[in-house]
Amino acid sequence: MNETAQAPLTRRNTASSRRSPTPWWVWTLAAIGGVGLVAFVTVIGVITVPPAIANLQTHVATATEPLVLGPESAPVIVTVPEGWLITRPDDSHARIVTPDRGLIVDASLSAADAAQAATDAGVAAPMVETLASGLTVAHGSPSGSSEGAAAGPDLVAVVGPVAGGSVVFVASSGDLERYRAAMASLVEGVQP
Amino acid sequence: MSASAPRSARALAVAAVLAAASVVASGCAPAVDENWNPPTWPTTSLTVVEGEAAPLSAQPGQPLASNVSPERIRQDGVGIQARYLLLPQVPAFNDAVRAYIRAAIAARQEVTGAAYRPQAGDVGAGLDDRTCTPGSTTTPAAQLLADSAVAGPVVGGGAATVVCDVVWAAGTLFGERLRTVMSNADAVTADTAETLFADASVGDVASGAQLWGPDALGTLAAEVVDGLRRAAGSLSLAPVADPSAAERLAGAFATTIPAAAGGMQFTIPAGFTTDGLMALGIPPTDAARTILVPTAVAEPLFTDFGRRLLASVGQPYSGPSVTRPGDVPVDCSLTPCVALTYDDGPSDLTPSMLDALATHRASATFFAMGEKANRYAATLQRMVAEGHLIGNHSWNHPSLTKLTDAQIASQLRDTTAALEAASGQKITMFRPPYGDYNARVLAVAQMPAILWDVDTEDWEGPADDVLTERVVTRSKPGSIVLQHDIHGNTARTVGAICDGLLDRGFTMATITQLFQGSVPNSGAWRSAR
Repeated sequence: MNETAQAPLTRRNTASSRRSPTPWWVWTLAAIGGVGLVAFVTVIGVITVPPAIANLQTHVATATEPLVLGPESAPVIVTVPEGWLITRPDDSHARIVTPDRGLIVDASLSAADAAQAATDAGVAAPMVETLASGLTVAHGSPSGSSEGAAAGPDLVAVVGPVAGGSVVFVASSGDLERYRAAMASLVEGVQP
Repeated sequence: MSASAPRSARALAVAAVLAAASVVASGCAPAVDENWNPPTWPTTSLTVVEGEAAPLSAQPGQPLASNVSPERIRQDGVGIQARYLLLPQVPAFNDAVRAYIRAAIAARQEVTGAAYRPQAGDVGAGLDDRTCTPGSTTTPAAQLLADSAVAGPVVGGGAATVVCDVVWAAGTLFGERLRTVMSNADAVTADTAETLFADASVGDVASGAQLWGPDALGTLAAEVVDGLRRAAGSLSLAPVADPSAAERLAGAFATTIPAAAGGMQFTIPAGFTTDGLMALGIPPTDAARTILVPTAVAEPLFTDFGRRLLASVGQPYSGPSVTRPGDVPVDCSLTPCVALTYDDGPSDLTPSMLDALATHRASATFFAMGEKANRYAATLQRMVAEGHLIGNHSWNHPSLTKLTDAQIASQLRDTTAALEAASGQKITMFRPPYGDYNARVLAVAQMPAILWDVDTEDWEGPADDVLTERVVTRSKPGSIVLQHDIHGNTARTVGAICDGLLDRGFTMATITQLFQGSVPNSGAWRSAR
């Protein structure tokens, strides 16, 4: 900083010192305005940031990029059908959605075996089947759910054994029967 | 303040930019693809639905009632009650139905050690209610066994209950499902069913399983198994290698019937499974499942009979009707029979008696006199046309034992000639007037003498209700009832007597039918017992 630059500043300070003090109500209005602006920005942030972050975490499934759940030391690989949407809030969870949003599946890991994990998820008497992959799937409707109901999942399907236990798929759909074959393709995508 | 104001402004500006970026980012979500369709299961030609097709009704008053001959037996010796339908003029079908009934009887004979003989009920037994109860072949077994009008009488702690349903009637094709529920004191021990079809146009018969050709099981088994697993909610895409499927499915093929909307259908019972389904963890079916097979798939897998059945879909039933007593299929080894016989006619009363017999689908035997043959030729011809039997009752009703051999021979020979000439029916038996015969009469006659074990003494003029009661209460299986078609009381009571006998479970048969087609060539016979 040189003196040439400092001079106007000195003058301005001198002039300012000669001005009368700012009235109190100006400061009050400014404070209110500031608080309001901060609140507005906060609200906008709360509304838009999480989905924005989610969108930033969402990608379209491809054949070459399977979903990997769990730690690097014990990964569970799920081949999600091409074109489906995958959202990753963290390494152990994923939300998998069909392109038409008709089927929403939350995937997570469980330390229990498939049948036990299905029971833990509220399926009173899970049907236990052998998949084409050789894994076992335990599935059924959780107690209290009804297909098409707005609240609660419509189907729980747990696939195992995989590293660390099993993969829990919790599906919701307004028309589960229409998406049952889609669900089958998803659970068959769990790699042994 | 002078330094913090710009900093606040900058902070707000940064926040605003971030918010704007968030708004922009949130609007960058992948678009919803409304044209995307979820995948479907591998294409199958079969459809699996719950439940079974509703049976048809052949109950009195329904159109089909005129096309069938219902029978009902109840036998307290071996413990069986059975309802089933026979068809006029399709003996192969009736033989198949009777074979099914006899199998149930044989099973009970084996259990009880008792022999089966046709048995009549008590007066007021209600055994005239004989037709199939619609839906009885699919009613829960416990419900059947609780119905005394259906359930077999418990003998030795067990019973056999046979029920029926009409499952098809179109074109000249008729289908009947028969079901046998075997039970002991504690539970149902067996519950089996078989469907039998008849084509009245050619007179042949096929079971449900016989509708399918040899390749059908192998072709359809895999698809049926896949359909069942999908219906059960299976998520697995693992193929089912299931050698047991065809074997297990063979039983279900026996339930094959045409589907009303076209194609064929068969029913898999609750509890059905295969080795492959069990290996996949698919539980046995929790309810009956009907498998619909489209015409295009079924036709090449069917036998000729099956294709005829397929072709009948949508047609009104045009099989034969029971229009005369002779159309009723009679088997007196299975049902209790009684022979109503009328002597001394024909007379002017006889036609009204024939009307009453026709109304009740009852056959009778008329021991007619030679001297009346020419005068009542039309009546005699009607008897034959309606399935009744004509026997020889001498020319003019003498006591044959008081005649010479030549006179006896003349009485019988001339009468036979006159009756055969008038009626067109061969005369093979005679009834001696007054029941008066001896060895000489029998030797000269060279025909069996048919007597009676129930004498109504209608000639004494008893009141109608007394006459009716005599016949209804005194008759036993194999009985021969003596009456005369020359008395008003006899003519008036034909209908009431038939009603009473039907109520006890009797079939009214000719003498030939009473002896199961084999009337002895000689001797004198008071009954067929």
